[in-house]
Amino acid sequence: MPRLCARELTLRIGARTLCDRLTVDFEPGHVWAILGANGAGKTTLLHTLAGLRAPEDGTLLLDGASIFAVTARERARTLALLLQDYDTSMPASVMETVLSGRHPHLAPFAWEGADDYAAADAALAAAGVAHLRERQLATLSGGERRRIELAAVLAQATPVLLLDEPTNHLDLRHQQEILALLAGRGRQPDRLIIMVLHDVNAALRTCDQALLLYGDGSVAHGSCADVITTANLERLYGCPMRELSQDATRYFLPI
Amino acid sequence: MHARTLTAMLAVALPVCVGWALMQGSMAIGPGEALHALFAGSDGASAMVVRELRLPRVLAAIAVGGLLATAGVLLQVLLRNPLADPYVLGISGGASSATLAAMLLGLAGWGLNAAAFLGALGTMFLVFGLSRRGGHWTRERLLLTGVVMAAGFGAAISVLLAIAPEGRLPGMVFFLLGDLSATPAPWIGLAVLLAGLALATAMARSLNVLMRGELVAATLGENPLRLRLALYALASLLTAIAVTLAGAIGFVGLVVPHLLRLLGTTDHRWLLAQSALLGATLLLLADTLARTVVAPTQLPVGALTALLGVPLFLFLLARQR
Repeated sequence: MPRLCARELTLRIGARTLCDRLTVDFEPGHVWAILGANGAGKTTLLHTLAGLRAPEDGTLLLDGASIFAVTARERARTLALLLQDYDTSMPASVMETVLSGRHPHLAPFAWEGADDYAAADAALAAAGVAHLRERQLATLSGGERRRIELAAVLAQATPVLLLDEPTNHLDLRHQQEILALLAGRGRQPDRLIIMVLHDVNAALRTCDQALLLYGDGSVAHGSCADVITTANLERLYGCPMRELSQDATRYFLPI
Repeated sequence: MHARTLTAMLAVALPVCVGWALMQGSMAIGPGEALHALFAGSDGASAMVVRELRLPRVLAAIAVGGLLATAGVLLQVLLRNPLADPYVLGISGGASSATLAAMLLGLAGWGLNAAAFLGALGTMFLVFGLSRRGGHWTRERLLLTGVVMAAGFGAAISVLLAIAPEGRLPGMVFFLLGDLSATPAPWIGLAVLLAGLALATAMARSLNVLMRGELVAATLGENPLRLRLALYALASLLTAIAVTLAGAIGFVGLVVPHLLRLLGTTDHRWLLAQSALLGATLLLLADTLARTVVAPTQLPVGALTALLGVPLFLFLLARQR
């Protein structure tokens, strides 16, 4: 059974149609890339898939039931979302931030126990930021904060992960590390990862499925080999592209 | 510093300050006498002074200080702005306008308290209703509506002061600065403080999540709108009671939570209790100084909280990285 599926999903903002009667099954064991130009509706689609906003039409099933049929708390134990940006105007420590991922797992008046601290520490280590454990969020760089935010999402320990530009603010090495980590997790049976990316080559390395939002309501989706083509990318980004190939790996460059 | 250590220190500091405050005043009373007056029920002149004059005022300071600091924490989370204070949304302006109008009409005693409470409550509903018009109840709309309403009440207060007969002016100015000398029934404030603190602490972990943003709270299983409504109602009620009891005492609600955040407490399960304790202690110190430094003249306590709070706050800010 697909973990998440969209049936005849229509998304509109004002008079614009972002996607029109989209039907797609997100099967477990896959890593999906959502690609599209600025303003095409990638974030809106991701938030809809996360159950944060109701679609204008159509249905959305999480593990076979409507995503709105379960309580927000139950949903938060199945599905986690990494936002594109976080408000950091209020001070907090790194550990408090990562432990917030345990919130849906804890009874209303409970304090975090040893399990929760262990999950938080494992998430910090996976995101490569175990050394920042004792710091305050305000003292970190943008890239370090991004990895703490990712650790908070990982600490939520959900089978479904939705990520909005997870490599924002990260340098090349950390982009590689985080994407490799996500690719490894997403391929495990029962898991599903869907991420919005701007880097087509990162999508090719990390994801096996892609969904292209053209911005005019039409959508292409399928395996990366099928949908990520020069013609599709030129239509998607509105600029000429060239495909290069080395050691059986494809690369796309704007020209 | 560990949150537990800091909480314990604050919990010790408050009773120590209570003891000190009970001994201060025009009649010198030693620690033994004060204890005797409190617990043995002796009925000499000094016991009467402690029980009838000083204790109610001490309790009022604790209640109002705790209420303002707790409301400050809640509003800072609601507006996600560490510089918000209980008065930013116009509650104190509404209460003050109503009270000054009542003073002009010749009301006194409980009538003034009733006017203050109704003014605060009316403002709470007015700001909520106005900020909710036209769809989403966002914190930007709430903040703007509150700030504009507060400015409007500021103008109303100026008009009321301008048309007031000269004999009533000192009383009106004292009320505006905040004053604990005429606080009726401090136990009402204490009861509301304890109930409000219990309610707020019950949702403290949700507040930690909400502090990261409404969308984050929603992805972690919370209902952000319901949470914000609860925060708004609770913070407004605590502020309304504080203003009703003692007028608009400034600075406690802003400086106390912020000071504790600078000291490293950012988890609301600790921050709420610590703020209530520190707010109570700070206001008690300020009020005791206000009634003793230039005795027999009493200073308005609101001026003292600012005089104590400003340098303390600037020192902590400068010490930060």
